[in-house]
Amino acid sequence: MSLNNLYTLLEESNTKKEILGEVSEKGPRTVYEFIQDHLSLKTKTRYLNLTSKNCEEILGTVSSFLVREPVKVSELQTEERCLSVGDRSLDELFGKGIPQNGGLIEIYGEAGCGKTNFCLQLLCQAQLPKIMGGFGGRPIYISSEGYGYMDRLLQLSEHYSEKYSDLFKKSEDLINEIAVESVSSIDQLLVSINKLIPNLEFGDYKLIIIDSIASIMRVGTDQAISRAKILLQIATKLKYISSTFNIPVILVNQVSSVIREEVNLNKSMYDSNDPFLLLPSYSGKSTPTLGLVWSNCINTRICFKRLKRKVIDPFQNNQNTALRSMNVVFSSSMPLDQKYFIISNRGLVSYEFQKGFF
Amino acid sequence: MYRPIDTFDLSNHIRKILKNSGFYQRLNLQGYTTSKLSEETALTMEEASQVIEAVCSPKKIPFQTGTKLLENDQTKINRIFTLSLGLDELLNGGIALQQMTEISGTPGIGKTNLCIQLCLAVQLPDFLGGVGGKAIYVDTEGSFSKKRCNEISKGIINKAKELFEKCKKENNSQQNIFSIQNKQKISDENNSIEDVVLDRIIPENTNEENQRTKKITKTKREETEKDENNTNGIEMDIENKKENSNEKEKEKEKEKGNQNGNGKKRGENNNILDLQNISNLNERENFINNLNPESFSNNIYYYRILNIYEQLSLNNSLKKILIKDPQIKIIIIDSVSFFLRQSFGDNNWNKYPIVSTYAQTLLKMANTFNVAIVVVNHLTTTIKNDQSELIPSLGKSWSQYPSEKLLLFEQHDYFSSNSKKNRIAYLSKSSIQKKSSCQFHISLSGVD
Repeated sequence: MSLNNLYTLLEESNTKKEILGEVSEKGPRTVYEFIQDHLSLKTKTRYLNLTSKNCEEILGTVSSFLVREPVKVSELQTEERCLSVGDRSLDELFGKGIPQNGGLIEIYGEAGCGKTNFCLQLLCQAQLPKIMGGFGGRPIYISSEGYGYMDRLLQLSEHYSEKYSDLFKKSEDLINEIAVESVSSIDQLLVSINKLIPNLEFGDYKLIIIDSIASIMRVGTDQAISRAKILLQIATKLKYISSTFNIPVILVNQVSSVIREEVNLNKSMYDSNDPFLLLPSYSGKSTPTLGLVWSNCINTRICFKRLKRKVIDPFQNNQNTALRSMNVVFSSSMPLDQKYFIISNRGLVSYEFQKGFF
Repeated sequence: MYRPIDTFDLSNHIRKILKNSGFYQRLNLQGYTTSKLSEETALTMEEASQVIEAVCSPKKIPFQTGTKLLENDQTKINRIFTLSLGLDELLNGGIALQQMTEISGTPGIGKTNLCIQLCLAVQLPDFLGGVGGKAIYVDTEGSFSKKRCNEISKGIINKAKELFEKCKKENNSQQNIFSIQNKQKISDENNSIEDVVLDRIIPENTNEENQRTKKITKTKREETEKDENNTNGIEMDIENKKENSNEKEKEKEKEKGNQNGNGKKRGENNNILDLQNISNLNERENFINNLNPESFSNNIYYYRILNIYEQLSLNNSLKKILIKDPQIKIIIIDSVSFFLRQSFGDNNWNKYPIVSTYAQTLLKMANTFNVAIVVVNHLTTTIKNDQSELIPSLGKSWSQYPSEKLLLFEQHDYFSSNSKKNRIAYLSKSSIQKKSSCQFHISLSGVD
C-alpha cells in the first residue's frame, strides 16, 4: 500500500462509494495533509459533498492506519547492548555503558574539560566488536569545530591499533571507518541529518556524535522564539533516528555564565520562579546553553568538569595532569553519580581517590 | 421547529443549494417529500433523501438525572495510589480515575520515573492500593526505559512484602496495606531527610467511610503518643471489611488460584490482574510472593510516537483501543507537549483549537471508560510583571482541562550545610484540595 495516498488508503479499507468518489474527484492528498486539513477545519470546504460523519469516518480510517500496534513492555528488549567508554569504572556511570536506546545524551562543560576527547574515544570504541564492549559498527561524527581534533584522533587511533592489533592493522583503518561531516550552521546540520537517514537503514552505523550543537545553534538565530522551534525540530528528527534505528546520539553542549544577584534566604521558593534557579544544572556559575527548551528535549545530561586539583599520570612519565569529573545531572534511566578521571595518551582513565588509578 | 438547516449534518454542497432555494429552517421543509424537494431544488434524489432523513428524524440527546447517577454510584471517583506517601497525601489518595492529572516540572526532576511507577501501581489489586488495571504508556520523547521499569517493580514488590510482614505480625487481615500511617522523624544531625513525616489520608471509597475516619483520628492520636524515637513505627488501620464492601467497578472475578511466578506456562492463571478481591490472608501472601517484574511489564502497552500525526491518530483511535481491552485503567502521555508545542506545515496553524480537541477527546475517554489520564507537560518561560516565570506549556486553552496539576521542581535547601537540593511536588490545581506541597525523593526503587 502506498504509504501516503489518502485515496488508496480509503479504497483498501472499503470506504463508502460516495466518500471515495468525492476524494478522488478533488485531487490527490496524503494522509498527513488530510489531518492538517481536518485540524484547520478545512476538510468540509475542500470536499464539498461530504458530511461531518463522512469526514469522521475518513479520520477514523486514517488514524487507525497511522497508529502502530502497541508493544507490551515485556516484549521490549531488557538487556540493551551498551557501549563501553573504554574504562570499566567510567562505564559504571552509565550502568554498563552507553545504551543503544539511550536516546539523546548531552554532555556539557566548559572549554577544555574533555568533551571532545571523550567523543573521540567513543569513535574508536564504537568500532570494537560487540564482545569487547563496542557496537561493532561505524560511528558518525558531525563536527562544527573545524579539524583541530585530528591530531588527538590520530594519537588515539594509534593506541587502539596497537592495543587491538588483531582487529586493526593500521591506525588508518580506524579512522577510515568514521563518517565525518563538517557543518557550521543549522541548515547544514539539517541537510546532513536528512542525508543520513537513507544510509542508516543499512545498519552499518551505530553511533552519532554531534560536536557541538551549541556552536551550530549560535549561527543565525537571534530570537528566542524561532530558536525554540528549530531546537524542537532538530530534536524531533534526532529522536526519530535514535528510536527507529536504535542508535544513541551524543550531543556536545557548551556553557554560558549566569550572573545572579544574591538570593534572599527568606524568599519562598514558590514565589521566586526564577527559571535558572529551578533548572537542575544550575551550579551557580555556569549553565548549559540553549535554554529550557533544549533541556526538555534531551534524555540524559552529563556535566564535565575540569577540577583545580592535579594528579600524577602514571601512563605519561608521571606528569602532572588535571583531575576531571563527569557526573550525571539527570537521566531517565541512569542514577545520579559522579566519576573522576584524567585524560592520558591512551584516552580517559578513571581515578578513585583511595585507590588511585583503576 | 426553527432549527437552522446549518446545524444538521449535511455536506456543504447540499447546504448551499438549500440556502439558495430558500430553505433556512426546519419548518421550511415541512410537508416535503423526496421527489418534491429534488424538483424544487437542484438536488438529486439521493441528496434529497439525505436531507429529509437528516432533518426530519432528529436524534434525542440522552441525559441522566443527578439522582440516577448517585444511584449508580457513577460519581464515585476511585483513586490509584502513587505508592509515594507524600504524593498520595497531596493528591488526596492518588491519581483519580475519570480525570486528567497534569504533571509538569523542570527537566530531570522525575516526571518519567513517576509515570513508570504509576504504570506499575495501577496494576496492583485493591488491597495494595491499585485498581487492578492495565496501563497505556504513550512515549513521545523516548524516555521510557525497561531497565528502570524493572528496578521500580522490584522496589514495589519489596515494599509490599515488607508491609505484608508487618501486617502479619500484628495479625491484621482484610485491610488496605498501603493505606498505613508511616512516621519517621527527620534526623537533623546529618541533614539527611530519610522520610517525610506525613499522616496518610485514607481515600474514601467504601460505604463505611464515617466509621473509618473515626478510627483514623483515634489511631493518629495513639501514634503521636507512642512514636517518640527515630524508629519505624508502622501502625495499621483496622477495618472490618466485609466481602463486598469495597467493591469498585471491576471486570475481573475472584480467582482462587495461585499466580504462576514464571508467567510463561500456557493455560495457567498467570496474570496479576486476575487476582482481585483477595481478602484471605494466605492468598494475599501467595500473591505477593509470586509477584515479579515480568508479570508487571506484561500489562503495560507501550506506544512510541514519532511525530504529531501519530500522536493525534492515537488520540482518535483511543476509543477502539479501550473497547478492545477494557482492563486498561490508566493512560499516561509522556509528554503531551513535545509535538504539540511545535508548529507544523505552514506557520498559520493555530495550535490552540487542536490542543482543545485533543484534551476533550481524552476527557471523553476518561469518563466513558473510567480510566485515569496522566499527562506530562514541559515548563516554559513567560514574562510576568517584567519577571520571567515558569509555567506549563501549551497555554491557557490546555490548562483548563486537567483537573489536578502537579508541579515538580527542585528547591535549594538553604538550611543545610552542604548545598543540597530537595525535590518538591506542588499541587497547583485540584478540585478538592487546597494548594500544598510536599517533598519527594527518587531512589533505585522508585519515587517516594
